[in-house]
Amino acid sequence: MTANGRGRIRRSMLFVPGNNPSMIQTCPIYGADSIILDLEDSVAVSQKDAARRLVVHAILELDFGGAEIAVRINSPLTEEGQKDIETLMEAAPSVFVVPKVESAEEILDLDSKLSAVPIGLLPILETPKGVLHGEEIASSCPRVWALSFGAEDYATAMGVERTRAGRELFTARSLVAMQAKASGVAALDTVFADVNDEEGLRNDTKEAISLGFEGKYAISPRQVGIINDLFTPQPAEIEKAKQILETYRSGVERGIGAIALDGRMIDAPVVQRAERVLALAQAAGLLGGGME
Amino acid sequence: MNVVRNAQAGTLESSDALVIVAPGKPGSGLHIEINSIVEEQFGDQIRRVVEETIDRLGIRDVRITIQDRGALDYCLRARLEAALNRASVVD
Repeated sequence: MTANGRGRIRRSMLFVPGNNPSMIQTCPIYGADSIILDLEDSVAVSQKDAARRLVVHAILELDFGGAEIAVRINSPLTEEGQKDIETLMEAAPSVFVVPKVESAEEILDLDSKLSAVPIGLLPILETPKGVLHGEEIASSCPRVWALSFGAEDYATAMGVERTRAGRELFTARSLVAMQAKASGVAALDTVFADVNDEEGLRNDTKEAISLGFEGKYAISPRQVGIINDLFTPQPAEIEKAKQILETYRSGVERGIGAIALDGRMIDAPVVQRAERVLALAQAAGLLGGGME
Repeated sequence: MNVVRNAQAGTLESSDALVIVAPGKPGSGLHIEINSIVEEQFGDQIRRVVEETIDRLGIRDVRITIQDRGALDYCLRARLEAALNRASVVD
């Protein structure tokens, strides 16, 4: 199993109820980088079987444009989760979003079930135990493409109320972002639950960016544009990144080991950040044809 | 697959279909009843989807009623398969 899905841009990942054909058909128009067809919380227990058939045929027959297609399965530790895995393998979505993961063993077990089927995994850490085992979960196999945080279940497990400021989540969010980075995978942030609070969503997304997250889940199409905008570099950042890469390449061509731009040394981490900025800009359609 | 009981899947929401299946008498074949807002334009297409699905699943004697609310082919296939799975035992 390759790790080639790790570098993909996932600014926004939009959850779409897996038993709702109207929403499944219209979701590609909202511009989310990833679409998550949900078989877990948004599907009634009595309709899980019907949702599985709908999601399978949607993946096999619909055109979702350039969006990555993911499926949030039920926990693999449950009977419904096992049926999800068995059924969805025939459609082979790009990614399984795996809820309530608490150990590396769960991921390794899922990895062995998927065998040669090229499906990546995005574990959601949404319990205190899961958050504390984030690094071993992220490092457990190359199929893990990112690590994500789930606030609602985490708050419930901690016995705390979710607040608009989100102070109760700060430590867990920071840990998940840090564990993801320590394991070389992307960090994806939890949903912002109030779909009518745009200012709250902006503040929450800015907080996620400041903690090191590279993308965020969305539960409404209305949230996608705001999240994409905030995770997309501004023109001045893009210009600076271009200058850094040009200066660095010029130094490499001339055989200069250490080179500076505006008095600041350009080393490997600076180059990597500049490349990331341009990759994000390209994903947002801000660079025209090829990477500059 | 063998249909042994009545079952249904889907909804009457827009872009969906409610598919109801019932066992047919041995040798009675496939009976399809369609109630659709677009039956005039797409009735034949809906029938084709049903016949292909029934054929693929190896089902012979079954009565199928479809209350269509503008479902695309993928949705019809999914709802039909779900209803048939609920109504059947695997041979």
